[in-house]
Amino acid sequence: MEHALHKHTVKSYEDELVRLSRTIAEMGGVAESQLEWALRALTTRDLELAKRTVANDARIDAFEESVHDDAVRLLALRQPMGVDLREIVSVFRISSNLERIGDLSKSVARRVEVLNSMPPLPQVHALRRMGKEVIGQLKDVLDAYVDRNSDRAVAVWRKDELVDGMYNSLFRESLTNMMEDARTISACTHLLFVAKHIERIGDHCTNIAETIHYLVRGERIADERPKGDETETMVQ
Amino acid sequence: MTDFAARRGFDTVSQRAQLRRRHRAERRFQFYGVAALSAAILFLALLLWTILGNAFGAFQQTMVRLPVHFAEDIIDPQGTRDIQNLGVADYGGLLKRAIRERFPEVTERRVKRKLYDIVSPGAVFELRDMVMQETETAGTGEIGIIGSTRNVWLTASDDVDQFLKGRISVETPEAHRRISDQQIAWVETLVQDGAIERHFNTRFFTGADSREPEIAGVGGAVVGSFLTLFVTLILTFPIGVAAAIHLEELAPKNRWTDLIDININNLAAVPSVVFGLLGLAVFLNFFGFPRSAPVVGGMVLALMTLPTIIIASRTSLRAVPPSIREAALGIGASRLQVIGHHVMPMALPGMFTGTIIGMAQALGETAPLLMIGMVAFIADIPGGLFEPATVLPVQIFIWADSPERAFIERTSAAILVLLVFLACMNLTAIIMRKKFELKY
Amino acid sequence: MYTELHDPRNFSLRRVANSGVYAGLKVGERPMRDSVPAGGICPGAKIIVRDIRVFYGNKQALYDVSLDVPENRVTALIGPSGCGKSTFLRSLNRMNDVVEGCRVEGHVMIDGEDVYDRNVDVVKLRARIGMVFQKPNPFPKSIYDNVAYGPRIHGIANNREHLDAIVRDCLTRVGLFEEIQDRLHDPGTSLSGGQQQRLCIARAIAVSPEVILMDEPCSALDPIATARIEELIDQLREKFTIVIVTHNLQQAARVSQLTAFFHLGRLVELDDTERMFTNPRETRTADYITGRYG
Ligand SMILES: Nc1ncnc2c1ncn2[C@@H]1O[C@H](COP(=O)(O)OP(=O)(O)O)[C@@H](O)[C@H]1O
Ligand SMILES: [Mg+2]
Repeated sequence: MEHALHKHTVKSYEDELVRLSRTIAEMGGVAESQLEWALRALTTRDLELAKRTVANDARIDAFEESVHDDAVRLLALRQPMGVDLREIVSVFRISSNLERIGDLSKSVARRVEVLNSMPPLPQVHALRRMGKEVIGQLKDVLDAYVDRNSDRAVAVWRKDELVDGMYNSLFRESLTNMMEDARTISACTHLLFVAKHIERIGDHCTNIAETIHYLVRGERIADERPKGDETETMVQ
Repeated sequence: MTDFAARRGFDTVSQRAQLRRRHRAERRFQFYGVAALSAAILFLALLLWTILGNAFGAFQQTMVRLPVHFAEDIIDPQGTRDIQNLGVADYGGLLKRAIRERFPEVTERRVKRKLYDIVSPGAVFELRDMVMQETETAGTGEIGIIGSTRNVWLTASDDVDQFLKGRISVETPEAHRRISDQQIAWVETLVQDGAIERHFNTRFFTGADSREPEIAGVGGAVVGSFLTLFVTLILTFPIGVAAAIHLEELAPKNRWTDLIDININNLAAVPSVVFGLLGLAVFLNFFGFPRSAPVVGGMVLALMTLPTIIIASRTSLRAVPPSIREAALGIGASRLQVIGHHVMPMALPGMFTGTIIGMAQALGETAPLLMIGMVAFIADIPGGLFEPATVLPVQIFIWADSPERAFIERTSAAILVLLVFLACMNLTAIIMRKKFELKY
Repeated sequence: MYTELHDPRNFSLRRVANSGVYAGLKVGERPMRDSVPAGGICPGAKIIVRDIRVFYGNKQALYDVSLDVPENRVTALIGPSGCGKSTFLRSLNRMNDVVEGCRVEGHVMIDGEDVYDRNVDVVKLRARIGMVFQKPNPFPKSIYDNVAYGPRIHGIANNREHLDAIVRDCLTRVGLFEEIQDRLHDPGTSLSGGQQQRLCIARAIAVSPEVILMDEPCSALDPIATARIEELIDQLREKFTIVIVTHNLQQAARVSQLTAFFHLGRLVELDDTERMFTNPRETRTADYITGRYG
């Protein structure tokens, strides 16, 4: 839209919408730090941090519930139209994406204890790079949400390919590793799961990017979705 | 805090005082209304009371019973029983003879004349009508009224009537009253004989005007009023309604219609005499219509009531909700159909009311009719629109102006008749309203 | 192609516009004056409006409005009060003719016939384009006579039985027959507000119009009565082309397939209803439908 919209005639409606989207941004911030902590706990083998991360997930769940309730109330009371309607729909979608991101981060953190009991693997470095990339995407996409910037969201959406590629190579690497040294199978499997979780988090970021595009433009992203995970069909 | 509470509270001292003041003002206002209404009702009651009190006497007429010998030599000397001849016979002589025979002691001419005055001059016609009617209805072979002697009830003169109704006091010196001591003595003899009675005064309702109050009736004026109003109604209702429909529904709103609008409103305020002058100039002098005729009176009154009816009709047309018009137009009714099927039926009750109000106004109008000669003395009941006639208010005006004592009660009685006439018209209006009213 | 365009599920004005059959007109774009051919240009357009300007005396109420009303669809007109929705609606069946000082310029065509042609019989035209008003306005006559009035004046019924059948059919179609069949001869004004409005709709459809114009038909009704009317509108769409003015955006969203947004006498936006209420392209529209200052 070329021109900025005016403010709502009903001020409390305006306030509620603003508050809702602020809550989403805040929730995104929490999800972001959860992911960061989980990855740091994994790479630094910090069990304490991992435990804190797992415990902290409840906050995201609480956020999601409250956002849901608020959005439902807005739907019922204000009967939003146009961009407001899209805003509410986006809130539903983004909040559940963020909630999933929180869950996945928790799963990553949970595996820290097992991985700590085994010798470190060289793939951890690749994992760290992948994590960094996904954290960057999550940051970007949340910024795009706050700024209502669909171009930035589309950029994130395109970068998902990168994460998929990283995951594919990590998968391949782990497979080779396991075949070479059967003792690493247990650790590798755990690590693969972590990688898969992070890849999923990337997918959620993509979803959020799509939602933001819809929110701002009212349409789906016109291009084909970038190719995703190839490992389902991968054979050695 | 205290300040705020004082301003907001319901029960502070100043609030209570204010409330009391307001209640007092309301009660005062109500009292004024009731007082005004009571005063109005009081005056109305007073008016009705005096009119009724005065009018009451007029409905009863004193009658004298006389044995009358219908002598053949006076009534029908040729014995032809020809109605024409019977009508012109000397009934005056017959009557005088009957009176003389009743009081044989009176011989002097001057005294005799006084004696004759006991009976109304109208009694002559009563005798004539009696003879002619009986002869006409009687079969050829029968022995008719002629030649027989009968006890006949004849109308007493107005002075006797007024005296017996107590309106002429015996205390008044003889020179100052219209009935002499001698006449009083005769009347008293008659009363003792039971030869004087009061009968219901039919003639008052059926008769026309007369110089003699005892035989003057309001019938001619009622018929005259009726004929005049008939003409007025026939002219004003269609013209008024058509004009209203045109102005309200069809004519474009521009300077011309505005001008017409203003003029109609102005006409409604023009003094009614002016319409009389107009009628005199146009209908009588220019078109040569007969004077005193109901048709002219009706036309003059039509001119006068037309603005009222147009205004009332327009108001009731305007009161028809536009949504009804739109609804009809929306299904494809033509303008004429909208008016004929929807607007008119809804506006009609209002138009009727307006018309009746206009008619009532016309009924009570005197001034314009004076101008076109409807004030003339008309002793006959008008038989048609072009015959001379008078109308109720003019009749009242004439009677109120007459010196005879008996005309006072007749004036009141005529007013009463006028009021009843009005009430009937209003009743018709209410009935029409109820009948045609549509709910929306 | 043709059938696809006419399938309601596929209906999309944008698609029509993109397919090139919409006479090269983009939505909301003004066509050239002489580009109005006689036969109609948007396939499925029942009424074609081109460049109409409406004046009340010196005051202009509509500025160059062009709009196609598709057949067997509900077209909703929305916009703030005084923006000219009613004026537009009333210029479709020439109800403005009876308004003192009202002047209409431009073209309104129904099935290719110019409504404002001098030879058009307004009475016939209004029988083809029925109207339902904001306030239920039954005639002060019986329910039966209300419905029978139109057929009577247009001579539609051959005899008494036929008229009875029409009345019964119309009342049934608006879902009123069951409720009131034993009081057909009670006054129409004795019904409840919602029933009265349905009676008015029955009265409008009794003359078998092709188009029904509705000017805020539910604004005086309670939600249940409103829902019944909306359901009725949805059914009527099968047989009639409907143009409805409403201030209730949810209602417009529920009942219409196409929505036009008017603002200050201009047509600002015209689009599929769905799109209009989720993603309008004009800021003014967005401001209006989301309840913002503007
Ligand atoms: N009969 C009339 N005379 C003069 N101006 C009118 C008349 N009807 C409507 N208008 C004006 O035309 C404009 C559009 O009115 P209308 O079509 O009734 O708006 P809407 O139905 O969208 O609320 C308004 O500004 C209104 O004041
Ligand atoms: Mg309107």
